[in-house]
Amino acid sequence: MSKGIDIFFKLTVFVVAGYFIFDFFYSSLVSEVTVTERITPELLTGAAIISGMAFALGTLNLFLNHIKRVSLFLRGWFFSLVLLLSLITTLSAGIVDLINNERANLTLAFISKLLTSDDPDYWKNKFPRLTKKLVVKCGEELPRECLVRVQAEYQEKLAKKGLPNFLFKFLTDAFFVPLGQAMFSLLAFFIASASFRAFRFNNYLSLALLLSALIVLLGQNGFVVALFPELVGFRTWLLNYVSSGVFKVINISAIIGGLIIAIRIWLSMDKSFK
Amino acid sequence: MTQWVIYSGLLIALLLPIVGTIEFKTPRNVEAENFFQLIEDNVKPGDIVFVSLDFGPGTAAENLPQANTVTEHLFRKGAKILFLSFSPQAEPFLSGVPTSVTARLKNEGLDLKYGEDYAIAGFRPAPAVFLQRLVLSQNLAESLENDIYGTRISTLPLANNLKSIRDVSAWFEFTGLAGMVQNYIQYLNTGNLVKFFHGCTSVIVPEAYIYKDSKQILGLLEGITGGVVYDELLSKRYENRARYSEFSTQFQSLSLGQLYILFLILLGNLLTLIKNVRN
Amino acid sequence: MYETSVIILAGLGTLAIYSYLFGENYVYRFFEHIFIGVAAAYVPLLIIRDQLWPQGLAYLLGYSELIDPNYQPNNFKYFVISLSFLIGLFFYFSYISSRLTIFTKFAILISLAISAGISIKGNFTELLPQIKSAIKPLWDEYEILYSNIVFLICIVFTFTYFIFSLNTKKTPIQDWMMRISKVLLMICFGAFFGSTISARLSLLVERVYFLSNEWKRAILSLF
Repeated sequence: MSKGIDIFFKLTVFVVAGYFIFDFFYSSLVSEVTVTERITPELLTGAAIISGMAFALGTLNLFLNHIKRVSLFLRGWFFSLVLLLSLITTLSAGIVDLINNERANLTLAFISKLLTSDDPDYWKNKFPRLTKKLVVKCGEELPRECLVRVQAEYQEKLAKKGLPNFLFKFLTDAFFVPLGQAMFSLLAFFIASASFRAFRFNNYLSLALLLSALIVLLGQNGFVVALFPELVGFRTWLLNYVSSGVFKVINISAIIGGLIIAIRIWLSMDKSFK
Repeated sequence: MTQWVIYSGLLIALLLPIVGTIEFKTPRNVEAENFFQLIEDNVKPGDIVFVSLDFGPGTAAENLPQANTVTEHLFRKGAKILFLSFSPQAEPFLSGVPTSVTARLKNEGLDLKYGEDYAIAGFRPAPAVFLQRLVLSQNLAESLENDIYGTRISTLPLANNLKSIRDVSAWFEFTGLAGMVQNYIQYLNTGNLVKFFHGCTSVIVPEAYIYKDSKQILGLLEGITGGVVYDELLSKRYENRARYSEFSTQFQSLSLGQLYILFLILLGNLLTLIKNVRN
Repeated sequence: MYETSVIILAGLGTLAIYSYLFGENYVYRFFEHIFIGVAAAYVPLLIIRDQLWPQGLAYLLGYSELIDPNYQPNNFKYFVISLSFLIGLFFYFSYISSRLTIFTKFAILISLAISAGISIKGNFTELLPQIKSAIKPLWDEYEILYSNIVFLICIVFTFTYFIFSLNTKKTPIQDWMMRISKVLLMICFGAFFGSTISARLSLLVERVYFLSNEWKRAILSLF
């Protein structure tokens, strides 16, 4: 990377990060609404859009990877095909449903403006495509009765939901939710196996770890608590004072570490920039 | 072979309360009791509260009982609820939880209307950015943009008095994601600006205690135990209320499963000890 | 009919995933790949529906004026949203050509810079109450607060453990402090560990409950 581009990048990082840091300290010190408090929400909207657009990178990567497997008939191509089919089906169903919904919403909003506005011609000129759509249904004059009828039609359409919405809901209810739950619950079997094979009271450290684990685990167990009711209080005490004390230090250290990393990025001291 | 014995034993232990008649009394949970009392004391009819369902199918087993019971309590207190999420996987629960709770309450004659009593803002990415926007916003309802049906939230009756973050009486968050609660604590300034209540999975309970200690979290629900205890507390408070029998049965199974794990640990150590003595 | 078919499929999928306990097999892989496909489609879909369309594209295309009763034209907002979309598109330039990777780097840079700037604010907001709450009174007018003393001991000893700049050659006192610190750390990690066991078991319990109730009923209703 050329030196000019390097300097440009470092300057960009300094300005962008620096603005948010300045905004934080400035708005904390000044009590009335500052100029930064007026423009920061818009900048944050922009930041959210940038991060939102990055979310599809993972899906795109997955898609390209598996397309390659299927097209070259690599090992496991059939499962890649299954993955691609489920991905494309879910994505298409969701997008078609979204487009249908938004079309209906926009049309309803447009009709509402035409019916209630003092200057309907403004809206007709502003949204010619929506106007054309209504003209096809109601004629050039766009009479009120026709608009009300079309409004009712679209409201019914929105309420009914079509095939894309049904397909999306089906994929969610039949696959996404139950398979996700099943995947995570597999770990319980391995924990049970590890309990028998690996959890040993070898030395004082493992004794401390396992005892603490058992107190926290059994302090919520109905049977054990019925025999030893004091265990509930002891568990709460352990979590409130011992575990909290130790973890608070770890957390504070992590936060300070995070601050240092943020400052290093701001000042382009992070080696990955080079 | 040993593996299959262990797995089968686990399944039998979990199935016994479901198919049989083994029952334990639900133990006390101090945090759930405090949580309940805080809602009783702080939430009044007409208060606007936000409920974040930041969990997916992977942690729904623990977060769903919490979300259902607390949402029911808030509706019974007359609060107006806005549901949202920062986790895309929460989509099925964002409409599922309000629908199931309002249907339950309808059976008791409490008719709750979408737009007036509750609304669903949907998923919002980048929680750090979104929460900061909310805090800085001069018109909070506008900043929330659309709900999941494409309607502008600012046009809903629920949002009539929602101008700034100070109009939000309390914020309830249910999550199993590590690092999610820190977004609220950091950018919502929960110690000062907003009363924040947190329902988490058992995994992050020890971590949540440090925030409770610093009063950045006011109320804490711990895993499925929190949900089950809360359900019991609701039934004590509101007579003739139908309990969530599936949650208490699952809790009984969990108790037996925990005992089984304890048994395995002790058995494994005992066998190792015998082996060492023989050698 | 819909409910029954969904429940039956959900149960079959769950059992297919549990077949992994027998070892990796085709049934497990089939359902696993279906799950990954559906899950991977979820995120971009929701981003488009709940954020990119209402907050971005609808504003740029002028539809905000139609749906937002409080719409105010704002050139600065228009500029910011347009620029954000452009920078967002830069993420994908590396897929087009390797020579355009510099644009992707620029987009990543902007994201990092924003995260760094925002995180400083967040870290301060989280840190100060944590430090404040770490300082607890050791006695009040009636009694000595032993729990707070234990809390203080935990904090002091854990700090000691993480200070690496002490002499590597430890004195006996330092050695004992290290041992006690390790025990306290193990107690803390044990608490996490016990909670994790509880959490994982809860997930399995829910699935077992589903299979033995709803799924069993759905299967029996077929006959």
